[in-house]
Amino acid sequence: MHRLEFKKVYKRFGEKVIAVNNANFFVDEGEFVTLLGPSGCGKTTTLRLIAGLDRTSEGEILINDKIINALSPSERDIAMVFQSYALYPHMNVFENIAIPLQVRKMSKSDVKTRVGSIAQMLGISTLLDRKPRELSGGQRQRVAIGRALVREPNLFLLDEPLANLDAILRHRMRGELKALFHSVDGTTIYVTHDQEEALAMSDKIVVMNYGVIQQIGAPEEIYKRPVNKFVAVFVGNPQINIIEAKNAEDMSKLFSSSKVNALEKLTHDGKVEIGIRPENIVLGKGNIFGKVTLIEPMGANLLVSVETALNSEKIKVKLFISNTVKISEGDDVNFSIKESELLFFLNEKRVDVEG
Amino acid sequence: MRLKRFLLYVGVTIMAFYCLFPIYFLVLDSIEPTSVSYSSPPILYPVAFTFSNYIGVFENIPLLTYIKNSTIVSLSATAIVVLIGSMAAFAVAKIKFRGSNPFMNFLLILGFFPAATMIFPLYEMFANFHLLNNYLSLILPYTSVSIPLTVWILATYFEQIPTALYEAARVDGMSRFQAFYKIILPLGIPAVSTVAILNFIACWNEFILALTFMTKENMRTITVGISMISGRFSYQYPWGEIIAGALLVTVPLVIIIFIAQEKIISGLTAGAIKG
Repeated sequence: MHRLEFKKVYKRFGEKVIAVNNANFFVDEGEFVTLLGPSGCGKTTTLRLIAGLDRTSEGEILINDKIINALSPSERDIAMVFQSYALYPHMNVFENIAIPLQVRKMSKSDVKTRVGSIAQMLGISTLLDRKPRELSGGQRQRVAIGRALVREPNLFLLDEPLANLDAILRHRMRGELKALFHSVDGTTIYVTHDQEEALAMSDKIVVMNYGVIQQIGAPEEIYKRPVNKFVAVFVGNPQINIIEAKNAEDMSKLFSSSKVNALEKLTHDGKVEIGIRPENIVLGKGNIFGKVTLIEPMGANLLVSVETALNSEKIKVKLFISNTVKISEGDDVNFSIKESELLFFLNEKRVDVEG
Repeated sequence: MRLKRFLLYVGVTIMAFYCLFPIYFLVLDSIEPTSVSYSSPPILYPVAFTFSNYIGVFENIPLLTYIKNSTIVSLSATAIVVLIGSMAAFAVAKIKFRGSNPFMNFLLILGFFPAATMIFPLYEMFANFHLLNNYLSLILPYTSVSIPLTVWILATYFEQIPTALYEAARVDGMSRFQAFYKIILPLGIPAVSTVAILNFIACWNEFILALTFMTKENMRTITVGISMISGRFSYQYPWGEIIAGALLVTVPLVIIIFIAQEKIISGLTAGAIKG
């Protein structure tokens, strides 16, 4: 399998729109890399640049250290699963899966064995005679994946392949896809706006916003050490709590004085934004007091909204507790924060704080 | 409700009568002796029966030669129009080359020129190139007149075929041309076959160019040929034979087109689009 590299890649549409702005990243052999971001962030454009469906405005795309900018899609030897699946409506399942091999002039018997084994692997052997319109959404998706897996391409590109499936199927396919692409040892680039999918499936995540790559890292790193507020807020469900502290007094209500001192040195105006993941707030002990305003049961856990006062201003935080705890809306509660897990943002960027 | 339905049927019946009566009258006239069809007031039901008009057609003109000429010209022109038109439409709809919009506007402008204005310049040209009484003298103008509209119709249709299908084909390793004839063309068959049939009918029925450029008896097309049916004397106009001739070349054509359309559309659109 194969490596992909982006070197200072730009993609402009017209004068004003920069869909991809100076993208630099590297995908190693056999890696499963996710391009993650809200809609319109340039992730799909990035994928189309790799496939050759759009041309770069500037910069270089390399596969195995060879520049492929000038190659047409058919010369790049890349397999892609489209969001709409893009199955050929006039061909049956067998023909749909077989066509990448047929255009490469593989012998009839080889095509037959290869398609057969892929169909078996995906559990669609009994559907080979059907036309796409006679298939369910999940089955269509398997056919689309089969068409990609049937040859051994340089890269697999997946454009939100789970977006059109219902929730249950989506969760099941998530695990299946990950296992599948690992088993064929394929270098895979996966596009999604669903951060849960990205965290669950990827070896590496590339977070994008407004065409700019925000952060590249392993899922855990992205989650625990986001480089800026955008990444922190975008990744994680429920969202991270962001509290704005306007001065040292505010800060000292939330954490120890050594951290307050360290932070004061970093800020000019004393303002800092503090990010706290819901799972890092402990209810029932500690010296921050508040009132429960909302309880959202989430199965094993309850998501509890607590309102508290930070000097003159009221703030709200969300936190998790086990569903065995007896609690109801309107209760007065106290809580503490795991100081080591706090994230600090100055001007949207995360800063490391000693102490 | 009942009244509405009743009125609907009355309306449909009137329309059907309006459309079909002339054809009925043609058939009637073709099988009656001229003396009967000339009677006044006209007799609207069969009173006498004769094959003489049909026999007369074959005696009067080389009908089979005309049919052959018309078939060659119409089929060739249609084939060229469909071939060039569908490829051009594909390029406009899916490849999106620079300048595709001006190109389409240019085609539209071409379509505005009335065909009649071309007759004399073309006659001069074909005479110079020794193309008069050659099939090309009809195939060339028929093709160039039909291509602009064909491209417009097909491009509109091809645009509705999801672009992802074309892109998938390219990523799967197909060249542009393979993507065209393996994916886009089969999915565009309903439009392509309609355009082909309309073109064929237009060529088959064309009269003025055929009359002008084909002056030799053995090169005439069917429309001109039938108009040349004449009586024994110059004042005699053999309506019965003309009508019989018109029916002889029209009815089989209509039947063939109906069958072809049914076959093409039902056979090839099964499972198309809606993916």
